Amino acid sequence: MYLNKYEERMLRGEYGEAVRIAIEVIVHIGEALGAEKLIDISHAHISGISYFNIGDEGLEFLNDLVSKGAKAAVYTTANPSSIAILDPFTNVYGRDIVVKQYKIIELLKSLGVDDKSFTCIPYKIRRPKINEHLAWAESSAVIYANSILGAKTNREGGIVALMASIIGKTYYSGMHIDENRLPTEIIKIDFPIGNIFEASIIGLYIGNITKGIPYIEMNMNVEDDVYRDIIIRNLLASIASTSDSPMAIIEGITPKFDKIMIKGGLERITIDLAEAKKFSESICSNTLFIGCPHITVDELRHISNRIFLKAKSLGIEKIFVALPQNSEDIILIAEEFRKRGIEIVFLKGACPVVSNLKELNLHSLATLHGKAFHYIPKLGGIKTCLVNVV
Amino acid sequence: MSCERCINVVDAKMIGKEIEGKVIKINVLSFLGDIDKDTGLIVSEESGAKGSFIKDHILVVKRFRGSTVGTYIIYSLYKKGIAPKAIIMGKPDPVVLAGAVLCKIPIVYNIPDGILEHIETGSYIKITSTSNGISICIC
Repeated sequence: MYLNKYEERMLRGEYGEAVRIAIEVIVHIGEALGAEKLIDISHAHISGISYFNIGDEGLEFLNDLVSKGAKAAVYTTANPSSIAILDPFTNVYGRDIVVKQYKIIELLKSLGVDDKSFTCIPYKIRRPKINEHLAWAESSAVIYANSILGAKTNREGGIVALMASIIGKTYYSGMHIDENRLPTEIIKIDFPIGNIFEASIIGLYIGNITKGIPYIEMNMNVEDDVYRDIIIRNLLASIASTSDSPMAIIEGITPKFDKIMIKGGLERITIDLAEAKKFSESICSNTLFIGCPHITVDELRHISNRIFLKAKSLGIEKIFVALPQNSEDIILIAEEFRKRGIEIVFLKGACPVVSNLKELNLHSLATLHGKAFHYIPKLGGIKTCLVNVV
Repeated sequence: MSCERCINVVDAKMIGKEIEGKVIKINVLSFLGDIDKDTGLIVSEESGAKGSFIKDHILVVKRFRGSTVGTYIIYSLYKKGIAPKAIIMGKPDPVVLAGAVLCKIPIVYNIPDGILEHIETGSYIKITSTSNGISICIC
């Protein structure tokens, strides 16, 4: 791989041990993927923030890197942590876990991670421009950045995004190169998508069948722009849960979709609702989870009437809502829900999916998100069901 | 051990030394969620290999999926001494590749689906570099 003089000095350790380690990892990965050079990035987004996921080994890794002088060289955001550090839950998980979760967050802040982030929707904190090069982890954010914002990022491992943050660069390969951003098949959705639930089941299904970058022909019978964006976010997050796809081209939505060359002979797959609905089940819990990916306060306000209309009739008594760390106070919305007999618990900067949920004495958790439906049993350790609430 | 047949795979890549060992064949895998990170036990039904321990085995994976936290999980498995011996795949997955590079776990990629089909759970395989790719021997 070609390295300029500055990058060579980094590799020789002239800018410290943390920079040397970081560039060594990025160069090794880049060489394995056939990259010819490194490129500058404007924004890194790190995953692997929950102590339940990365454990003592991950914590030690971060600690070691920071003790060697690691600092973010570019704007850097991070994923949500586990819920262990939030007020209602600290007693449940015990001091050891809470202290270690705090330590991970403090190490990331000392590195330079924006303390207002801790969210899986970093594009709501800083929206990248079209063609901007990024090094993002968090599969749902990667697929949103490439597909909706027209920015360029590979689906980086959490550690790789961290290394890219430290040197402000990543390897020039994969999604950074236009010729790799072409569709691998055409998928036609044979019915209009009207809500998050339908987008989720379709997304999980597409993820299972795509070979890489699906070109999606679909209609949405939703006029409201805010709700449309939430629906699209859920479609993409669901695709990214059941595949390794870093991008989907959505006709009419992906920037410059009409300029993308579709090779002749691509497989064409039609999906009908019956085929996709195998993921759906009946309601399994009186507790509902909203915010996977995270939802902003404005978005929640926007869809709260839709939630009121259905949640009560489904027997929902409590809702966990996961939001970015910088979310404003939400007392009024909480009060509205309480008046209608639904308790609402806000999880700022956190995510229940990456937390041990068995400890909460919850046997199951309903959700409207394909990504949460996919991961809750695997990571949270409890049952889940996908329901149509908004 | 004598090997009954060898297949040359042109353009396949290998990072690491020669590899040999017993295979676990996996249909689809995310290191986060599909493997118990404390024991190295495969827990996902869809993997087609539920109940197998990955330690000391060569994972032959048809398709990767999901979480970018997988790199941390590979690192964590490695530090606990329960990482796989090597990982073989079709298209290289950046999340898995990063974990393997970081932990110096040998990795083989760009193996066509048709060749992955020939390798079964329980097979003993040897992989060596050739001038234009790799050679996989099933022993």
